Amino acid sequence: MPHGDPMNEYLRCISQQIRWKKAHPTVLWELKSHLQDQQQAYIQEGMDPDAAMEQAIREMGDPVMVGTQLDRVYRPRVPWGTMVTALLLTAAGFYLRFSLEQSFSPGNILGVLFLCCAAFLGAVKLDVTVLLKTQWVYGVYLAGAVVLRFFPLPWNLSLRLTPYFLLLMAPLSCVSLIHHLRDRQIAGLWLCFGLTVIPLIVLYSTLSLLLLLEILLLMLYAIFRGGFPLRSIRTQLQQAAGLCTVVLLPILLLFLRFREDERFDAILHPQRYPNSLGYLYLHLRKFLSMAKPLGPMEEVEQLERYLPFSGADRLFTWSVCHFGWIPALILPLCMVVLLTKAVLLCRKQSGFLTKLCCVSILLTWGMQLLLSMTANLGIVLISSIPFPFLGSKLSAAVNMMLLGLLVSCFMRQGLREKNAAPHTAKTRLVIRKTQNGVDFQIRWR
Amino acid sequence: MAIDKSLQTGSTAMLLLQLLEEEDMYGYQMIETLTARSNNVFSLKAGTLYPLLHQMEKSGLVTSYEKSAGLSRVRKYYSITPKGTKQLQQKRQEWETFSGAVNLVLGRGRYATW
Repeated sequence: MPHGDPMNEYLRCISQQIRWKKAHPTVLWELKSHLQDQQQAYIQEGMDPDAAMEQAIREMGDPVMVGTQLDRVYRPRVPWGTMVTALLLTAAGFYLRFSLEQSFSPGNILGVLFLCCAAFLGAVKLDVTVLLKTQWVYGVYLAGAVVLRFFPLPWNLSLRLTPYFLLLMAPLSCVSLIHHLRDRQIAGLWLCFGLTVIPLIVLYSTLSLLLLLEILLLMLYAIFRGGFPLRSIRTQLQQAAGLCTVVLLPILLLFLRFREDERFDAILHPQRYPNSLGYLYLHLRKFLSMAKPLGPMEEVEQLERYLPFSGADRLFTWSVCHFGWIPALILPLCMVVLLTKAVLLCRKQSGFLTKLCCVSILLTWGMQLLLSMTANLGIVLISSIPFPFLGSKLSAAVNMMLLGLLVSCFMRQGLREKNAAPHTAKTRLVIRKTQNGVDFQIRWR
Repeated sequence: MAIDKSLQTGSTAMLLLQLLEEEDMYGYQMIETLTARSNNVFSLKAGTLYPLLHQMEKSGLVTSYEKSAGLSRVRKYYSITPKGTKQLQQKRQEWETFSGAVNLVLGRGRYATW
């Protein structure tokens, strides 16, 4: 800000009182606009520009007092409750894994901790609104999908990275695409859905199906919360029904096609197929029914024979059998508290983009919790994924990054977005050449 | 007639919410409208208005958006939220009760109306 000019000097004095530097552009831009409006009004009354500005500054009041009042409003608020809950969850997970897994050494813990801290702090530093407004998010998502699918990486990295890549990138890309394509109304909605689903199809895995449902929920939220400017509730319902049909119809067709298949019979009668997942889950449910409220169950050795410990994927089942239901339920309970806190943070967001980002993070965690818990309880026949925040290094880092993005959204709440585009008009001028000349039309958009 | 500032302090947020319930406005416009509609009784300073508006935005009573004003100017407009509308109704009732009681004590026996 150049010195010497009374307006800039005045605004500089105000900014010196506001300790949170990220709030400066938001506050000073609006005050500057006000001073210019006031100056213009005085000029129209007959004052010369310099005197008009001096009078406008006098009218605004003591800069120290104004700055101090604004400083009280703009203090970076950190969602400590959410962060402490995530920390408790991670600590409980570390304790359980350290107790149950022989190979989980203190070195492993330090490695995971370092990666998680780096992911969290990096995400907090990011301005999520700027990130999602770039087209790079989708570009990275698509390019990553192509590389992971068609260019095998050494050490089996492609297979190991795929679920975490999808978990992080699919919802964020969907949010970014909604932001970019929302003005195209119905075409934008379908384009957004199609573009998000393509990498899911390319990198097909069990997780893809669940992410597809997550994308569907995110799109439905965007439709009914005015993300796409659809004119009536009827149009919104029609489009929502269309999206649901596109997602659920192939699943129904697959069901009809495979209902005579042996794999389908294995789901219905798992006791006839000793090598099936259903058979394994039959035993899992039996073990869980024998578990005590507190303390290890007597048949722990049998459990280890039937269900070898496979890292974080079966952490809940093993915790129930080794420590009892009450200590094990701390994990899902912490996660439910975290989700509730995330919902509250999401409700406080005023910007649509940040709100959508928070909803996508919420859905990602909810989906992980649902998948992990149903598989650990042997309810749904799907191979388990790690419990949120307690998984391998990459899984925990992805969730920490999502937590960082959530905190970043919360801390930047109310700040002016960088390079913010002005509010677009709801009408547009259409010029068409006709036989009689040129036809002008103003259309609602 | 100049009035005691303390009489206005508690009701400024209510007055701003009332203005925003009628239409979306930017800061300067609010000051001008408030001054004009109160026959120059309420001359709100910008230094008081903006911290209050930003606080109201943080509390979710109002929301803001940017709108072009001419070729190179962009203004920040404020609009009332459902929470703000609810708060306004509540404040209005409080004000009617309060001003009615003051009038009764002063011997006028009449409730102030909006």
